[in-house]
Amino acid sequence: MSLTEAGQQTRPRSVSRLAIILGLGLVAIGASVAVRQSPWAHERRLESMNLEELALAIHDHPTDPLTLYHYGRALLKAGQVDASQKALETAVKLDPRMYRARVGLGSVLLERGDLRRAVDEFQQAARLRPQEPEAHVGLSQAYYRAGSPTRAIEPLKKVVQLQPGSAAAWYNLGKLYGEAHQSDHALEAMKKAVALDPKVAAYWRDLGRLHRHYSQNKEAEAAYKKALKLDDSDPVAWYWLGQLYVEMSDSPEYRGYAEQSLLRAISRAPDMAEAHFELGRLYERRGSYPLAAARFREATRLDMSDDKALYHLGLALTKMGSREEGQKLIRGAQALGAAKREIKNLENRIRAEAGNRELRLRMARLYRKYGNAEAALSQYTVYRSMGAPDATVDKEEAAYREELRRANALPAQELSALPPAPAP
Amino acid sequence: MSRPLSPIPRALALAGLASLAAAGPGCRPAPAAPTGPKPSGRPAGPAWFVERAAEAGVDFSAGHGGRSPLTIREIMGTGCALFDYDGDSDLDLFIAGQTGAGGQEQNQLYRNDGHGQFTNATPGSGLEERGLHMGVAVGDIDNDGRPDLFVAGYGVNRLYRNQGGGKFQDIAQSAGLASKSPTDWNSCAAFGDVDRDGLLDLYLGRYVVFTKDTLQFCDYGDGKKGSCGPMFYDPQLGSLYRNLGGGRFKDVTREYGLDDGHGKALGAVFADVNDDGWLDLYVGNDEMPGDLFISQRGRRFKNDALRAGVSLAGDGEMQGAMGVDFGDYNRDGLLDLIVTTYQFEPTSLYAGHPSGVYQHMGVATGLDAPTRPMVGFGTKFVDLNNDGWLDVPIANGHIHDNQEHIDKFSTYRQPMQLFMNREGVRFEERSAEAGEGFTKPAVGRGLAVGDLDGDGRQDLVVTDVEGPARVLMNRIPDVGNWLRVALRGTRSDRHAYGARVTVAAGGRKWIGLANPGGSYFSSSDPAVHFGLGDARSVDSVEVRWPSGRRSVVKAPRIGATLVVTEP
Repeated sequence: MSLTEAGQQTRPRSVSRLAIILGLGLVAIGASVAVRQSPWAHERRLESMNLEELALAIHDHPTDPLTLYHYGRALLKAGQVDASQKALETAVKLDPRMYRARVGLGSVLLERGDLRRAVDEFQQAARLRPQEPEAHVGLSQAYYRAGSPTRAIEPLKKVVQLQPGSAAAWYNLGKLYGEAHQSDHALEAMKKAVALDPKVAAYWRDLGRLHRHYSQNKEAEAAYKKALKLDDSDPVAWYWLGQLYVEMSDSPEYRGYAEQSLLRAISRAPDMAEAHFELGRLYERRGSYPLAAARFREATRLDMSDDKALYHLGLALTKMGSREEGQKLIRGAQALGAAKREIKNLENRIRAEAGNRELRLRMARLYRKYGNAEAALSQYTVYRSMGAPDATVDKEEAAYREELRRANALPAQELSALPPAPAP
Repeated sequence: MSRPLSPIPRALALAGLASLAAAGPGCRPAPAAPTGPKPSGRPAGPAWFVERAAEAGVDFSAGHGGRSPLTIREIMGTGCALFDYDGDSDLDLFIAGQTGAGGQEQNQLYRNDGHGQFTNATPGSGLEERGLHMGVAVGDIDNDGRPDLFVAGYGVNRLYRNQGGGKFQDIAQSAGLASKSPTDWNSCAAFGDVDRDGLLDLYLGRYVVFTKDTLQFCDYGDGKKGSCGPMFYDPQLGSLYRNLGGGRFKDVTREYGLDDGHGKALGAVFADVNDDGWLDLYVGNDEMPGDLFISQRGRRFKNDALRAGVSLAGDGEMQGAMGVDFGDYNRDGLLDLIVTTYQFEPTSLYAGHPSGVYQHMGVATGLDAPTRPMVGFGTKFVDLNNDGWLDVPIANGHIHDNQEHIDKFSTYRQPMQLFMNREGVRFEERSAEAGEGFTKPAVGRGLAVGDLDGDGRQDLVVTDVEGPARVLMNRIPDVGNWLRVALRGTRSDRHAYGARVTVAAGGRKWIGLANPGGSYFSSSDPAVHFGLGDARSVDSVEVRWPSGRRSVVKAPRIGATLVVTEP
């Protein structure tokens, strides 16, 4: 009995052990399968694939948004922007809630300059995951590139809220504030960036620039020097330091500092027109007109649109006795400066009064006056889109197009929009 | 009135977010204002200037009742004039007032008792007319010995003919000087005899096109609104009016070539800059190139500002020019020019040079750095301590009434500044010694100079957009000797505007101009004041009259007013 019992007792024990082993094995296999088929594993596999492997994966799983996302990303890395956009667009279409695909698509659109759609994608991504910084960064970039540093600030403020310890985020926010002329905020943001990561030369350099703006010359000088201690190959820091010395004092000591700093900037970036100009100013002030003229000449050679350098070259030549050449250059600088001023002022006004249709028309005419046909036609188009039809302006625009056509000066995209020429 | 931070060099634009593209300033036209230098602690000794407007009986006060934000039209402020309207040989005071469009203070005329004590002489004077007045110029348009007043304003011009007995009559309409339209922004004005016919002609500067349909406020980020800078408006061009006699003027702008200006004028001053005997004209324009109109022997003008190097700031950028003046600060016999400017733009000091191309001397003289944080308006070259060197006072004040909200490092009210000339080489800031009248922040605009109490020291009157005008009595101790030369034209205009006076004393020479104009919207004593330092006597005073005649007075008494009549 006992044996039997024992034997009976022994059999079930060995069966259950086997079952346990089998069960464990199955669990392990199941788990393994589950893991291998999990999104995590899928992701890992996709991440390790190269572009060709991803292309095969797409072939096998053409409707898998994750695969499409990775494929799109790899294509972008390989510089295949069109294909990348297509893949990411499909991924977003298949899974509209896929945050990464939207951010990726936004980045591609940003790269392509399709800023309106980029903004849209980043906005949707930010709505899906408001706690993730990438979409806010992208949105900020898109606004910035659309010419609105002021709008670009808000998303970046969210980024620094999400990542208050990110020096880079504070730095970029500071730069944006600076661009938007909110220099007080810029200074504070830049100070935070420097406090969080004092080892980045650019942070110190740009902090110096803001101190300079507020006439805090000593602080500016210290910040520039700090930047140069971290990276003395930075021509911009040398240039700004030189510019600071030029303006700080006219003592021989400061003139020397200024000259040295500017020469260092030029030795690191020989094509930096601004540094040549500043050096020219320094020489001009101490009455060394031939030296000044040489620097101004170099600045104008490097940047033909630099009316300031042209003007000072004219002044220096006049003082050197080359009155005729000097006068000619001054007149040229005057015309160039006037054109730049007119355009810049009107651009500013358009930004301030985006709904003012008349300004668009004036801009079109101004671009026309200065021979920028593409920009002029674009402004005519904007004017038209902003209000009721205006027969007079339509006529004016048509005449302009005709004038351009006759001169073979229609912009390329305008030519492609024309109906094909009739067969001979 | 504005400029953004200098851009990063184009060739080296940073990679990364903020350098993705060049971006414009949006609707924030101005760079955030720099922190103004904190007035340093008062040094020992009495203040150099004592503010005594209230005690002196000058009760003019401007303001907007705390309304905010204010438009560009409301923050320009008004000018003042020191002139002897009643012929009693002391300087009386006129301050332009603004009524309507937020302003509440009408024009005021104060009669000086000769000791710097004033009585309000406005009631019944005919000056009480309403209007958004701004610039003031004084000139005896009919050579009757009674100086007349021209007042420019938004949509309004007044030519107040001095009828004697403290009465004035506005004859702008019949004189052909009325504002061309209700929205014409007439800003600054200056009298000068451009054709040497013995009659004072008038230059009238205009500012921008600003109407109810133009942009009123700009966005300064975070929803903060404030007045817009001039770059958001179209320029209005100034006009030259030739005095035909009989109280009539003719617009000769085009035939004299003055339509070749840039507009947006806030400061205008006549002076014979090339010493050819004909009056030239400098016009300071707000964020537009400045204009230097050189007379072509009284028949035309040629705009020579760019060639002469006085069109732009020292760094080649445009500047927001406000106050202007000519004077020989370094005593080299050539006229120098000063232009006060917007914040982050240093006051421009252009030194005359034999080549005809002016030298930028802001950095070299030390005027550059301390003036950068300020928004400078009224200024004059004036020898305040009679040491024989021309000093520079500047009235400062921002253009945004809510500047503290727009930029926490800057303020609407700003202290005045006093720069004392150190032998023509440097200007030393001595604002702290000048006392509370200088260091107490204000929204300074107009500034006029003249000796109000006859003590031989030049006093100042300064207007404030948001408070009482200041009468700053000069109490600088141990000042040098002085001589005041009052001119009486016979062939030239009555006060010989533009005459060049040369004083010689012991081998030293001073040049002075009969130049009441300049500064910002203001007119100063038309007589020429000379500080003589330690010179105990003067060898000669030579006057070159606008008519071309010359007269010399040998060994005049110093410490007094010398009246010289044109031979």
